[in-house]
Amino acid sequence: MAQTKLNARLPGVSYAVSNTGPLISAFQSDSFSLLTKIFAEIHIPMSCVAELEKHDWAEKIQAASPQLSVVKLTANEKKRAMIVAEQIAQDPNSRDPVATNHLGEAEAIVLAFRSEYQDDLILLDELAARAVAQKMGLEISGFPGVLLLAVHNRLISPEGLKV
Amino acid sequence: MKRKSVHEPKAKLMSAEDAWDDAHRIAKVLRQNLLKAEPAVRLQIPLSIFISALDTLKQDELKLLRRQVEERLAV
Repeated sequence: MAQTKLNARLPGVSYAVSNTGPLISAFQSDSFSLLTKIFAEIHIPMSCVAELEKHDWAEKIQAASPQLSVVKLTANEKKRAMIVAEQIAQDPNSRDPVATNHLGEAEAIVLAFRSEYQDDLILLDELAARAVAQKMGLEISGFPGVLLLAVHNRLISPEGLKV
Repeated sequence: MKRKSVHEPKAKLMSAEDAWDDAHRIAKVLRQNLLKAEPAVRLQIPLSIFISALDTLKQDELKLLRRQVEERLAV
């Protein structure tokens, strides 16, 4: 999938960098539009696209454009992502010691450190990746937190959350 | 519905308390970013005038306005 051209950001809006898990939850529950009512755009690294495609969500990625943007990491960022992936694999919350299996989360974390996302959030559901991202000082949320905020802001009803 | 494969089935996920904290964290970030936006000038014009002015906007200007309104409604 080609890298998406990033749009100029409107003042006051928030973006989210996301890992694969929260996006799968959004696609499974038909809630991607809900995500874009909270965040103007969702940005993901290429490795997350590969993971989403592996799980058969390619069509949803296409449909989610342009609110879903794919960002290619630099060679240096990829090296840093490998180090972060090792940290996630070694975190006490991790149940998978293979670092390469955590590259999606690691690339999302490295991407979130770009200056253009300094006022934004990263969406991560897995405890080990969340612990590493928080230690690094990132503002994190999981998909359930997005749903709770959506209920609080009356974007969806509490009944809608149960379905 | 076609069943898809599960992503990281063994991964530990967050608690309800984590989700609650997350919701507050998102709200805080959205609020901070809104406050950082350009200062708004409060215009003393009747709402009906403002609404009728929408007729003068072009398609792309209306889309921009819609996004701004949706952002504010989401907070």
